[in-house]
This record gives sequence, structure tokens and C-alpha cells, in this order.
Amino acid sequence: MGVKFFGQYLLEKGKITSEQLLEAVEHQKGINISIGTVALEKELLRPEQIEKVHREQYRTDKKFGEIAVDMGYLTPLQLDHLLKAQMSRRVFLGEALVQKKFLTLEELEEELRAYREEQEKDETEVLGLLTQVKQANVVEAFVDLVIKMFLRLSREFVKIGGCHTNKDNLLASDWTISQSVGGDTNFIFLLTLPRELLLRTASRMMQKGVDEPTEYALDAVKEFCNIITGNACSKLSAQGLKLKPQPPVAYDNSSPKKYVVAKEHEIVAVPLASTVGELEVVLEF
Amino acid sequence: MAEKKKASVLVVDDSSFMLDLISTFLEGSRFQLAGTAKDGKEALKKYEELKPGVVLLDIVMPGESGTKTLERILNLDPQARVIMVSSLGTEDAVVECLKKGAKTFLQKPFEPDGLISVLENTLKEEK
Repeated sequence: MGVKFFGQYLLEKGKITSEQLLEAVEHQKGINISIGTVALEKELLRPEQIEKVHREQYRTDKKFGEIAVDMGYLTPLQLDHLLKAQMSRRVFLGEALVQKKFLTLEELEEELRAYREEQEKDETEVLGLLTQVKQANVVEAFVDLVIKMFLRLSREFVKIGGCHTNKDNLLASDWTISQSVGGDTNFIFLLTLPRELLLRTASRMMQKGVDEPTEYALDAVKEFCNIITGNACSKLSAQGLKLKPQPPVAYDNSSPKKYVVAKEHEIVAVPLASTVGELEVVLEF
Repeated sequence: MAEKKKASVLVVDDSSFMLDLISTFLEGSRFQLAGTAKDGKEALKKYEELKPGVVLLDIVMPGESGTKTLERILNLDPQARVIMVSSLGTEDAVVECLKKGAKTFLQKPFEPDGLISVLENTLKEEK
């Protein structure tokens, strides 16, 4: 199971139709009000201040309230009151589905319970040391998904071995799969792994033995990375980040076309251990 | 009793592995593989040629994205039943595809049962 929002979960289970989901989302949008509107109603912000905060939002990936505090328009206490006022009036997707009579209250309770159980099962603890690095949320999301997907799709246990930001200490191994991600923040996700683990992952994905890194086997491993990236981006979208992944590319590091980190880029690397050797997750910013 | 006619599926994905995986999942089900395509351009050509009952369309592809291909298929045939397939299951991505006219959205990774049930639900909704 991947990281998905409640509407997608219901859609896949066939509990609601896509038309019902769209109608409920529109219904929600019609009812829910932005923090700017609440601030306007309570006369804490003027329209021109809201406009300035919106303009700043285009440039950064910060939230409205955070910017308003940074710009000195709101105090942290005022923001807290506004957020509480906004939350108390908020209609969640589940409620919208009940209001539109697409689900009964009993069905909603049952589905929410099942959804939460599934998502909680998906929660893997990522070591505290990851929280200290640049764009920690991005690093955490990717490392978490790498561990989960190795376990689920490749039936391989991998364990975090540390974290560093030194380009000279990057793991030199046989293969690197890279995938660029653009949007609110730009970075490249790299998975560097030994030949044996690459072949084992391809075999698990293809459900048949693979002993050579053929184009087809590489395709399977690229898809494995694509699933990690897509699910990590879904997880980050819950934090308000809008991201768009590009197709993954495989590099044979024993060839002249090996992967090289760009000089001007910074990295956060998380070495991992598996039963068939070391691998490394790198986020290149 | 005559065997129920199988619904045909066109699978569009740049990954040969995914094309094969989905084809394997369809084997033995009430759905049959009409054909495969590796990019948007080929998808349009195959759609015109094969007139499949359902299209399974990947979003992240080199060149034209799956969402653009969705628009082109629907321009060609507004009745086309297209299911978007992606590992990127954000609310924005799902809602964008549904608004553009996709019938539903299937998030990777998925199991064979998940794929078949999404295909069945899509056809059922049309009845």
C-alpha cells in the first residue's frame, strides 16, 4: 500500500465514485475558508497585507501564517487563534461525503478506522539524526519509503547506518538510479546499490530469477525507484509541498557514463545496510 | 452458455516492466490486453487503431505527460474510459486527472486484485 489521501483510498476500494469525490472536494472548497479570510473577518489583516503575503507565498514554500508572522503582520499568538478558528469551521473530506450523502456516518467511521490502521501500519520510525539535516522532511520521506519499499516489494530488510553531507564520502557502488523532482523545491533522488542487490530487486519485481542487468531488469529497478519517489512526493504533499517527478535513469558506475554529483549541488547521504551489502540514499539539492 | 465477452485494455507506460506486469495481472481475468504503448504519441495511434474498452495510462513518462495524453485521447473520443496509474497519489494529482475526465485513479504499487477491482468498478459505473 502507498501513501495516499483518504479520497483516493475510498476510490480504490470502490466505496465512492470519481464523480462523488470531485463533488465532495468542490463542496469542501465552497465551505472551507482560508486563514487569510479568517484574519480579514477578525480585522487582524487588511486586504493589501493579505495580497503581500500571497505574493511572498509564490516565491517561497512557506505557509500563509508563517509568512504573516515573519512580515510582522501577525503575532504568533494571533496566528494560533486564527488557526483554531479556521479548524473549528473546517469541513473534512469525510464530513463532506456524508453531507453529500455519498457515505453514511457509520460507513465513514468504519472506513476512517480502516484507513488510519493502514496508514499507521505504514509509519516507519526514521532516526532522529535525519531531522538535523537540510530539507530534513524530504530526506526523511525518501529514506522512510526506501526502507518500506525494499521490505514490501523486494522483501529485503535494510537498516540505516548513519547520515552525512560529505560528497567525498559517497558510497562507490556498482549502480545508481537517479530521479529528478521539481516543483516547490528541486532535488535529485539517488539510490546507489551493489549489482547483487540490483539483480535481487529486479528478480523480486519481475518474480523470476535475473542474473544480468539487462535493459528489462533495469526497467524493473527504475520502476521500483519510481514507486518510492511517487509515494514520497505524496507524503510530502500532505505538508503542502507540490512536487513533480521526472522519469528515473539508471547509471552503470563501472562505465564512463557513471553518475557524478554536480559540483554546485549539496548532498545529504544516508548509508543503509542490507543482507547483500551496502547501499545509499542520496538527496542532491 | 456463451462465454462473456472480455473487455479490452490498452496499457500505456514507458516501463517495459510495468507493461508486462499489468499484462500478467490481466491474464485469467475478464479483461484482455488489447495492446501496449510506451508514450503518448503511440498511445493515441493505438487507441485509434484498437478502440479499447479501457485505457490504463501512466502519468510520469518521458516527453508528453500522461495527463496531456489523457486530454488528447478524450479529444479523439470523449467517451473514452481512461484510468490513470501513478505512484504519485497526491490530492492535486488525483483531482486534476479526474477533472480532466479520467474515470478513476490507481496508485502504484498495486496488487492484481486491486487492478481488477478498479477495472470492474470503472465498467460497472457506466452501466
